[in-house]
Amino acid sequence: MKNILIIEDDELLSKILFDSFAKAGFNTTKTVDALQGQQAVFSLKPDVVILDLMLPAGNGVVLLRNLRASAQTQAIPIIVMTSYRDEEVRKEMEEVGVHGYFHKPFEPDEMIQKINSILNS
Amino acid sequence: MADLQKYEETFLRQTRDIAGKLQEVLKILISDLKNEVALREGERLAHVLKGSAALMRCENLSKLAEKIEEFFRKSLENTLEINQDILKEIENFCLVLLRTSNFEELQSVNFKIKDLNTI
Repeated sequence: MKNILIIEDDELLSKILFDSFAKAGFNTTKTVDALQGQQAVFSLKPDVVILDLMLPAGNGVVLLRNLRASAQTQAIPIIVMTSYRDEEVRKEMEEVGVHGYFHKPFEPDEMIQKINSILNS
Repeated sequence: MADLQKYEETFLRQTRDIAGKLQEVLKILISDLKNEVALREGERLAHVLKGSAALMRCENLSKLAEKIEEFFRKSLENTLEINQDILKEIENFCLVLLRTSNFEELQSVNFKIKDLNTI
């Protein structure tokens, strides 16, 4: 069973994704802030990380850069989700290296399709 | 889309929790208008409310949260002058959210914050 890590402070969205991922057959872990999220990535080594950009105890952009800079975590696929509509943010994420970029709100099934395509590639 | 009905209680609880935390932020700002930590936390809380309300199709609530998020962001950027009147209006909005007891009330929230309409 593939492992997915959600790093998201919106409990509602996190719960919806958790339930949808469980139905799709993924083993899912939720964390609510950047610090917990970073610790979880290093300890769990998930197959895919789902990352929000605005987080307590840090910031998703900084966390993303940290994960990309570490040899232990740089190969882990990361999908970013955000409600920012700023194209600059999107470009920055692409430069840092993300495997997907979702604007909120979005359909959980679209996220699952993206995860499957990453896992099957 | 996921069956949203089963998440109404979570949304109600989360929204009231955010309103309570926003009240704490406002308390700090009333005595220290430029407190950056409080402004950042206010921006984050409003951002979460904006997203969760949009997800639950509470458009009015989401738009209002977006205005409050912009208020905090512009205050951080020093492109907007914070005043006690705006803080009081956001405080009243928090009280409205804290008094809601079901999802339908959140769907029909139609609160107006006068000073934020100019943002």
